[in-house]
Amino acid sequence: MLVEIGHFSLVLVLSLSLVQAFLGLYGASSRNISLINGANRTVILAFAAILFAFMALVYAHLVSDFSVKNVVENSHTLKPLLYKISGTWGNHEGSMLLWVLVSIGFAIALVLRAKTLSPSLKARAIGVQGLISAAVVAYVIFASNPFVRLIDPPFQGNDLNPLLQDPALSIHPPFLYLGYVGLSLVFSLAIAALLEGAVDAAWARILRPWVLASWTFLTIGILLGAYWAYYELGWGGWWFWDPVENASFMPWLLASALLHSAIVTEKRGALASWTVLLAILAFSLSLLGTFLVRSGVLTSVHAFALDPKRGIFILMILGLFTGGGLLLYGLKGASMGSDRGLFAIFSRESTLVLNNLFLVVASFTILVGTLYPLLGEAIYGRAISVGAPYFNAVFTPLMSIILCIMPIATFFTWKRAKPIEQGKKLILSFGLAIVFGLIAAFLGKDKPMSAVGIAIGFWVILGAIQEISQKVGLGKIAFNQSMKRFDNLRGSNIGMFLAHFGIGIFVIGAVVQMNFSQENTIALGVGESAKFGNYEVTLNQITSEEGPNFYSDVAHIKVKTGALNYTLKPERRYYPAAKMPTTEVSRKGNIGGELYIALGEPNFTTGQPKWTLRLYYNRFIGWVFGGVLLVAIGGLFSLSDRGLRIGAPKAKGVA
Amino acid sequence: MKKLIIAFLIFIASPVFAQELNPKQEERYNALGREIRCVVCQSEPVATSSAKIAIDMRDVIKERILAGDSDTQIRKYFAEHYGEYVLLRPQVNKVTYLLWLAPIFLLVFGVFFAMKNVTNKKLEEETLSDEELKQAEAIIKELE
Repeated sequence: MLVEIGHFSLVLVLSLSLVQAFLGLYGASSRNISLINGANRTVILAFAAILFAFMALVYAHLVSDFSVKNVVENSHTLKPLLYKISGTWGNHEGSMLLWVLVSIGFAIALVLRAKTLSPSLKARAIGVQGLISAAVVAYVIFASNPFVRLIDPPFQGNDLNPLLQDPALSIHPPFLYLGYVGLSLVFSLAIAALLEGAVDAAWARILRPWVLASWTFLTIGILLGAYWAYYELGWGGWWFWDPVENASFMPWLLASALLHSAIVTEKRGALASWTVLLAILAFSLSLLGTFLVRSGVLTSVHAFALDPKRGIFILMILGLFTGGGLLLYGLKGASMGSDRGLFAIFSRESTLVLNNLFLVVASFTILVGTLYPLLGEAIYGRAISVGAPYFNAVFTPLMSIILCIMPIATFFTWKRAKPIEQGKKLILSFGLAIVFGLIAAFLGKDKPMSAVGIAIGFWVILGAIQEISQKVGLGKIAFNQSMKRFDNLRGSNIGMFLAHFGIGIFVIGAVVQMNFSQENTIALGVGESAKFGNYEVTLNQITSEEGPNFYSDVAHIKVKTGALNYTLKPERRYYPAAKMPTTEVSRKGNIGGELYIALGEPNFTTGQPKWTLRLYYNRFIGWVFGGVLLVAIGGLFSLSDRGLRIGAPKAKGVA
Repeated sequence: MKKLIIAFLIFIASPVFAQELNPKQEERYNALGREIRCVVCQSEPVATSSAKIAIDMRDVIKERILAGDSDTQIRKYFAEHYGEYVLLRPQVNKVTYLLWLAPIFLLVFGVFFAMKNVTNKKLEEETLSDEELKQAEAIIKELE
């Protein structure tokens, strides 16, 4: 019954979203305040309805209602509670329902917050957001309905893909969607501003917190996904340039560009039309990502739904919003004339233009690489693969350039910088970065490119430190006064420092991990030992254990390194319901790196069984995840900035 | 006779399988293993796959390295024997020119776009059109 009411609620959400779209858009253009208020109230009703639908599905999963197809396909009575809940969005249909929930959730946040917005801009944004929700909820109802019942319910479900039964992955989709779908609100605000004809500094100020929030969520979502891939897949890697990873990374790059261009628009009134265009493109790439993942046009390890009908539906949604957005931009963009802020070649604006240029080029290069196999097949009839080697080869140089500019940008002043005078302040960072690079070159011997990467990482880190030191007057004024200034720094100052610093940490971590890690695959019988780098590993025993919904072979491996002794227990699990094995790696390490052991299959052909062990020593791996975590924390600090919440000043020169 | 054949087989097999890779070759082996895709898996390189064919393909890499092939030759070998689909690093040929040149094209286009949209605005802002000049002069006259 609850499931039917949930199903009915979905239809209600569709109607309410359409009403919301009409009231918002028509109310704003006819300047009718009661219609606008009506739009706001409709959002609240729509949210109540979608929340009910979502909870109904969660409930069906929770009680293992096997008359619901979605539950049968993704659940099992023995599955632990956490994964019964996360299984709701760990599948295609449920995840799209979550998409709609988040989309309407963002609309409600806009209704409740942003009291300073002009009512008509807000109404238009809510109207556009209503259209987006309506399109996606229609997709859920007609192409991907999670509430479909089975006439002949089975006694047991098929279980959730065991790879997804993991704590990090249970919260990975919600964060990712908060990011993706947050960009839908950014899109709505951009379209609203175009309709309103008011793309200016005040609008950029309204836009910024939403961009920042989406970007921060997306960062956390990607981090969780990468960390999960690292410890769950048992390959010792954390980024595979898989189409699905690319689908989340492209909008992240564009959101990063948008974050910076919106600052220029807000503070200097420049790049306004560019900011609007980025806002449209960022959401388009999120939708395209959804299309690529969900349609299964690109076979990928992540794709849990391969259905061409869905692909066509999402392609239509994509065409509607991207096409419509770009068309509107084309029609209105030229007449905006709000780019009043002038700036010289050497200025912070220019450096941020470069930042945007490279981020956008990097993003579209990834798009080309991701789609190229389709192109090769369609045009040349040749099956080709575009994998990690390609992406590393093209992405690294583009990013290196951005990173070289990064510290300079923070030292240049707005409008007209004094390149020599302001650049000179960075000599210390520059010199030290070169020294660290030379040390890395000496230690790394035959890997000169990694030394360049490490030098760039240090350049970014030291630049960030110098920038914040300058801000608090460290060394110029008394130390305790500097500390006082530090306490008074705005959230956005600390946020920028942490994010830039984190990027530097990440770069060093990534370069070291990829160039100086060790790996080996060995086969050990019980009682045998092997050497791996500075470690001596002994397979003490293999025990069979049993979890709630899996059987497991656990290897007890004694590790000896110097005076240190410990036991690592990598596992090989088998989930009978899903008929799938998984590896559970075991790791131990410190800031310098970690030993990572994955247990492979036993080989019985040679009398005594030999167990395959994959050993990795991942140098600086903690820096990779720690760096990105700092970036996300930086985003949260910036979000906490009071300046984003107080009223936006009226734009100058707007009649 | 049987023993002889076995001995002979061991003799011809040993140069390949008994021989170990030196550290330099080991590194090439690992790197190539990550560039070559396992044919039965979904976008998974042979280095990480536990499929039987992936193990065979890894052995082929090892064999080719020991035979003295260069990385390029090994890639070519795989493209010929398994299809270019297995190369995660696409070859540079007429099918992939566009792919490899994409970043440069995009960058040139981006610079052009930025120049047009950033510098032009500035020039427009600084110079007045003839009509605007006339208007300005008229206003100045009026004020006088």
